Amino acid sequence: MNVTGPAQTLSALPKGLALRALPALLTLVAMVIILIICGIIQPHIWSQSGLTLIMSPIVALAIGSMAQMVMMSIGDIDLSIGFFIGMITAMVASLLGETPIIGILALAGSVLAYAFLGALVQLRSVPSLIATLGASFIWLGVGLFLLPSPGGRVPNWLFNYIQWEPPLSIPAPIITMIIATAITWFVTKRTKVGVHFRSLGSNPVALERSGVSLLKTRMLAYATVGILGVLSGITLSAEIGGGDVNAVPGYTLTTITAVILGGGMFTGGRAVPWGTLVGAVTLGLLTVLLTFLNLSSNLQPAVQGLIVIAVLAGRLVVDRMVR
Amino acid sequence: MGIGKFKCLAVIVALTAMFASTSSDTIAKEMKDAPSVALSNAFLGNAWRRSMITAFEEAAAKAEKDGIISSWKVSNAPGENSATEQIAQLKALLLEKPDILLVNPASATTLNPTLQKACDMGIVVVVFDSATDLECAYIVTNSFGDWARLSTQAVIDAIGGKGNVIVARGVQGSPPEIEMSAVQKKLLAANPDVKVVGEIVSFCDSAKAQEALLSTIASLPKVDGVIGCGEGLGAVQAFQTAGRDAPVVAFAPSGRALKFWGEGNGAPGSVAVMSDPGQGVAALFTAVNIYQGKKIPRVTIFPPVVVSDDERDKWIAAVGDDEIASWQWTKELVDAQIQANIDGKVADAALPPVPVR
Repeated sequence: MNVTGPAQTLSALPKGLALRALPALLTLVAMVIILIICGIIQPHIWSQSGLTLIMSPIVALAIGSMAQMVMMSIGDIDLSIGFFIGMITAMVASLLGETPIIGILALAGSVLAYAFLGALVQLRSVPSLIATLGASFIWLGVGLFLLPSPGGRVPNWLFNYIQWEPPLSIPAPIITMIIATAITWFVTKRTKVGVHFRSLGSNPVALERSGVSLLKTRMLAYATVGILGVLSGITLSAEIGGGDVNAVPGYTLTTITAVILGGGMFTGGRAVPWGTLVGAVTLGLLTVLLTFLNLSSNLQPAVQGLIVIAVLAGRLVVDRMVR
Repeated sequence: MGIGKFKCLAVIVALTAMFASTSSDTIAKEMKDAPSVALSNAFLGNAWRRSMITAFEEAAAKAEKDGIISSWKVSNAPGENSATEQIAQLKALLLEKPDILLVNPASATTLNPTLQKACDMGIVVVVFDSATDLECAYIVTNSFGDWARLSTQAVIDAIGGKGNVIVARGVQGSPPEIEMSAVQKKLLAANPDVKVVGEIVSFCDSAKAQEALLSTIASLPKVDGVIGCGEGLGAVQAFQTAGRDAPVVAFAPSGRALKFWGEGNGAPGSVAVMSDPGQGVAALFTAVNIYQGKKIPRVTIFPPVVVSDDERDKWIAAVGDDEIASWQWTKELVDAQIQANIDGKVADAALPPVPVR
């Protein structure tokens, strides 16, 4: 092909790939711009300790967004992930430190509970919105039962993790986020199970005709969400130095935003781990940017909303250009 | 005249050196450079927090002009009182290395690792309007016991120490409510002629109190006072709706409630009490003292805002409609309050003057 120019290169890409990758690229551009602005205002961020400081609060959000991404790839939406992550921090701070075996059993039980939730959605045709909304109250109740008021103690190994300074000046939070994303990428994009997840989202009838059990697939997907939720909760409890079931109810909607920013869809069938990572980091960096900008108190929430809307609007434009 | 100039310079240098060697130690201890200040607020969604920020911005701008602080910034975390957003915001603030960090936290525990990091960097950390078990942080707060004492005593005094009262309770079981309820019970026990004829749960909220009172008002005898925590407006409206005489109540010191009170609603002797949105300012001047090396107790108690009957009209002039009344703390007033804390005389300490705008 000897045609050049941006329009031609766009259409030269396979359409599906372009549709999947471009929204994430747009978000990536936004993320890099935000990082550069932050770096200009506050050059201290360009160091191991600086990047660790601003990235560490984002780790739990990024892994939680991975969970939501898996959920959305099968066409479901998880309205309970915020309280689930909160409940996990309560488990970590109350059980895992003092009685590690019971703690691990409790964490495994939470994953199983998620798998059963998947079974409920599949067998009884309950919409996932309703099932997960109901589950969120169960997570809240269990969390409050384990740790009635915020606090508790995190295990020592978790305490050591937040003090960790990896060699080559690589910030620890970035390593954690990339490993979590790489694993999610491998499972959703490079394994048979991952293909099943995505077909469950885009074309469940075809998946069933090819002889795959929808029940098993949905349960596996929900279990994966549960595992990622547990990981997110563990990193969060390291960050807050304890447990609090009410720590992050806002994650439920923020994780959905991160997936959409990363190129995911409400209708399912699309797994975008790297895009979701970029989306979560962008959302997390917004708080940092607003803190640096020194805007008037009344303007800060409005500016945050405007930036998110601008990026989403940019995505719509890109989608249209590709089509 | 090159040599003369050189001599002159040498003398100056020698003098400076002498001066520096004799007194620099004491000077450095007494007067460090004016500090830079950052305030981290978890939430901007209600009138109290907005009044707190307004009061702080006014005071900080003045303190900067007076050279008490070198610079200041206010940072409100986005979201609904989210601890993780505030952690992200605090970590960004840490990169700027302020000398003083004032925190109105989203939660009493979840910020601990982040605030510990701030302490480790040598930043003076003062938490206000909340408790924290973090040992390196100083606390500036109002006591809920004082709040209950001031509002309950005012109602008892206004009804002359005898009569029928209703007790309005806050969020039952919450630590502030337990503390306030204990003080109310103690004061009621000390005044046996005051009879409790009913108890409602008002959540210290005007609308909820109105609803709760309307459903029980028909069964109540004559009521002289409502002992509560700032639900006066709704309580008076409930009695007015039922066509009965308004009792003595405790209002919230919001501009709206004060105006309503000023229009002659609520029996004489009513009062308005609430925790002080000026706490951010009190925390600022307390932190400056800590920064300058003064010995300050880890927890400093400041008085809640109290609007009495006779000073009501002065307050109405000073408080905007959407605002909550706040004390206008100055460095001198804060120093006096800190001294009262050190001497253990918080309950008897003089209240600041009514602010003028």
